[in-house]
Amino acid sequence: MGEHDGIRLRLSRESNALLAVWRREFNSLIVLPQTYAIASAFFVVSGIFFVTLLNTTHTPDLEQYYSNIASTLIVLAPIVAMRSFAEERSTGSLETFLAWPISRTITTVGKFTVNVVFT
Amino acid sequence: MAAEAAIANAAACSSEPGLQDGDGPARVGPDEARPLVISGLDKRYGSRRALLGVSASFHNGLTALLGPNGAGKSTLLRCLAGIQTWDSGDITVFGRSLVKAGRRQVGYMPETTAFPKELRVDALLRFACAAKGIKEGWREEAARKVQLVGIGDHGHRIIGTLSKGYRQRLALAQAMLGDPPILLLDEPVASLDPISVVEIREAIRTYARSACVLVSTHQLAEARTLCDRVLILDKGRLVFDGPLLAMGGDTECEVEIHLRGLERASAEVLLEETPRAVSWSPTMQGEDIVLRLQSARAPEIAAVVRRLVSAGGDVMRVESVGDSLEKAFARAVSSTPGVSDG
Repeated sequence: MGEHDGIRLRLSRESNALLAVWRREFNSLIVLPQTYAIASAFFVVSGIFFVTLLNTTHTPDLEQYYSNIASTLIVLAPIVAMRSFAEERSTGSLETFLAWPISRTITTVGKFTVNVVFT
Repeated sequence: MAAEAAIANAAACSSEPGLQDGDGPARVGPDEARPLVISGLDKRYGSRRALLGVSASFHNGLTALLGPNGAGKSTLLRCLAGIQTWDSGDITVFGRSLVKAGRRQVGYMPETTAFPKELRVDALLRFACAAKGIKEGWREEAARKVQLVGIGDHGHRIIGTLSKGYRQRLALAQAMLGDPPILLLDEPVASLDPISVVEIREAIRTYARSACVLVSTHQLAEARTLCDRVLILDKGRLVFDGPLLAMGGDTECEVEIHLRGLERASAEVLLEETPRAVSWSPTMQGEDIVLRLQSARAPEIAAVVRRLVSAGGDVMRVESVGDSLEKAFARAVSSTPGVSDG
């Protein structure tokens, strides 16, 4: 096997592994009730921000709205990320996951990107 | 002897840290024929030494990993599974470093059989197949394995609704996916009912005909039933490596001899001539005369059996009773010198 074939095979394996992590993370997000609870809470909070802003300034200024709503991500992002890593570690499912032949880099990147897309 | 071979092997191997070793050239030589070779493995958790120069080599078949709590069994399995790094020593799989080539060759069933509760069984197995590089025919492979461990009808169930026993079977199924040549099982039948235990033991035995299976357990009876070879770890050291029967050595034990074809009176007369160290208590069980020999050594038991056979009796079976194995285990671990921290 040539060097290029080896690199191609490795890239193919890594991309398949990344795809598998994405699929598994999205699968979990879709079926988990916490996902909908977090999303609902976010919509309620952002709605309150928007209405309050509208009442106080009487102008639909989205720039200020987005700057306010970004600060809620400080709370939201850890809540979402906790499920991905800390909860899996505390329940012990991370151990099974890590025993599969997926590199930790791919696992981390896969989980991170799914959480970024969700938030 | 396996232990001597392992020690010789340890001496021949480099002692560079395991994970850095993975990028080096593949080893060549007799190790290529062995599915798994551990050479001088050391692991510390801070100042505590969890593994101290553990060396062993494995062929296909079932090996039990025994030891008291905190002996280093789970640490060793986690190192072999590629989850845990180690400080020095080497693990090779068919002659190549575990890190370089081995993780696809190893299936691991952890003691804590936890999975994401929200997933369905088939979704988890699909993911496991994808992770292990099984793209074509993953459905068939997953179906074979769930059938093998007896949860074939539960593929569409949500994992959170499965009982602990079923989750344990699922853990075994995911470990067997892709038929890895090395299978590491941490307490594989701990939460199963007696009927399931028999089924799972049979599945493991079948698998071990063509693979190297390492079973970590606390239960000596489990090791006796399932495994041909035993490794005993204590305080991070390998204190015994050999067949289970050799563990007992020449120790006193209690046995029952089930005998037919002799009148009870004749048996009693014969047994009165046995050495004083052997006490006996003949009782009737169905057609058999059951003779219980206490504090007997192997040569004394053999002498009694010879005498009974030469008198025309049929010895149906000789069973070890009591806790001779437990005593032998306790003796093996109590002789381990203490490990100094730091």
